[in-house]
Amino acid sequence: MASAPENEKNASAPEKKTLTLKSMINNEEFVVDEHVALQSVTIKNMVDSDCAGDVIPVPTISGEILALVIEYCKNHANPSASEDDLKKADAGIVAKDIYTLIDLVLAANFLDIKGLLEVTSQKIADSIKDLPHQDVREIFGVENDYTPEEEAAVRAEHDWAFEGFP
Amino acid sequence: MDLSMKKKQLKENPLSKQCVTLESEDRLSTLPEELRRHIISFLPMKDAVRSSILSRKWSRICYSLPNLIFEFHRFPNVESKLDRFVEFIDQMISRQDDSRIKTFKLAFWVENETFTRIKNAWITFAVQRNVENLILTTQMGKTQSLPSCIFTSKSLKGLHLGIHDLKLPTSIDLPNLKELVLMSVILADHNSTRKLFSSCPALETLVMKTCDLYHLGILAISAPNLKHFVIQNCSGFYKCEINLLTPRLKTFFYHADVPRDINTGNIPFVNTVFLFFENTHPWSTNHSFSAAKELEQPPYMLFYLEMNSQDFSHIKLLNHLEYVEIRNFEGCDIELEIVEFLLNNAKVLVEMKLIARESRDHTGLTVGINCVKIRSINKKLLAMRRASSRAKILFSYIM
Repeated sequence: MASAPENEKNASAPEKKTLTLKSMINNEEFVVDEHVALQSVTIKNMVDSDCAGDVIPVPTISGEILALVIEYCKNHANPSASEDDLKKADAGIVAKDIYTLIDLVLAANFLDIKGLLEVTSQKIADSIKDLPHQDVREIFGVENDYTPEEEAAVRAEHDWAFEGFP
Repeated sequence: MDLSMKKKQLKENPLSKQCVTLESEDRLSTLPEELRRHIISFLPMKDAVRSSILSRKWSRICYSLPNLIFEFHRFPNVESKLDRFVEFIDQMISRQDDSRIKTFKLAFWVENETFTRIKNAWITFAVQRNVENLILTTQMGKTQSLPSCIFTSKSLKGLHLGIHDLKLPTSIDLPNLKELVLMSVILADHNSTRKLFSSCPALETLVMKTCDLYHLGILAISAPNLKHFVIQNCSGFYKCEINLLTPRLKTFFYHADVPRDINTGNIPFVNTVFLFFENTHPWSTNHSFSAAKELEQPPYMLFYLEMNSQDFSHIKLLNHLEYVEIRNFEGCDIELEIVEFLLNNAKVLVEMKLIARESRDHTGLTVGINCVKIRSINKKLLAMRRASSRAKILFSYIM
């Protein structure tokens, strides 16, 4: 009895396909509507060229980050969302610590989702803007490979920009 | 980089301990060059330049930025600021790699012939590198003019000129220009002005802010693809005739004094016209209203729309109109007619604010609002049919 309307529903909307994305870092799986997932150019290319199986493995992206990416895609796949709504939702997604943001920017880059790449890059830039370079090095895990002389020369080249920084 | 060193470093460092898994820590240092550059491009110039000190890998990123923004007023107040600013731009330009330059902005208000020559060399560099958006707020001086290559650029999509002594060249051809913004420009020669507008066949947005048109005579705009036209805080329109040949015009925001005349040819697609006539020309002269009526069919509107942002892409069409503010309201028949028109048609209107002020003519007689009038106006306002059930009318007056 209960299955009848469900069958009917499936029959009337057979085009509503779903895809399963699987994080290869912690094996978490996410079932998403195809049109939501296709906002990723990388996934779209896989689907278009028939390279995608039932489960699409996503390497190097953790389940936590993948959930954020999917949230972004869902928001932007909603045709009735206003520009203001989307802006607010985007701000919520990128209101994260810098390490999560770096993971998110790598994910956006890998999955090729332009809008997410933009908002995440902007947020990272905003959060490192007035930081001393020593802190930026730490956050990005950048090893300073300048010799002290070289570093002094780089600094002297644009010394105006370093005024007020240690 | 030495991985074990890095892990050791991260373990010893309390800040890094907060971060997620070790795998992701290791990836931080391998942020691809392209991605690093992308992030740096969102930084103000000063911070972008500072990134060169992070490590060798980062040393040249600031010479491949898509947006080159040079603003004298934002440059730190260092010793011999002017020399340092000029030196900085020279350095940035001479070291640019082959990356695409999307935007070049120069805001530099120092009047001096030598600087004008230097400035023009920088601008020429940007144009030769196929810049897409060029933003210049500067002055040229009596004998100098902008490099003429700007006006024949095939790559330019956006051009913002804040140059009050702008001299236009004889040859103009901007086939891909979509947005032109003129700020504080003195437009005095109607032939060269007309030529500028008619040499941009792809133009979609035209903004004129705080421009001076006292000596222009005729503002003739022939632009087949123009969709948005904004005139804001310009002066001298009362001496000027506006001739529009813009068949695709969709929004026209007008905030200036009443023009001598408006000829719109036949604009079939205007669906929103924002007009706010300064009170130097009272509504009661009928002039303003007839000028607006000439702008084809309704909906025409005479009001000043208070906007939250300077971004004119947010201009709401009548169907989306939520707030209306009419200033210098006197309650004369024409004004009431406009109020009624808006109330009858704006379906989602939330608030209409009418701000009245008592005024006196040169003989000292009251010509605007008075107590008797307020009562009768109130009565008329309440009787008007409102298309939006939420619409509220706020009528305030200063006596």
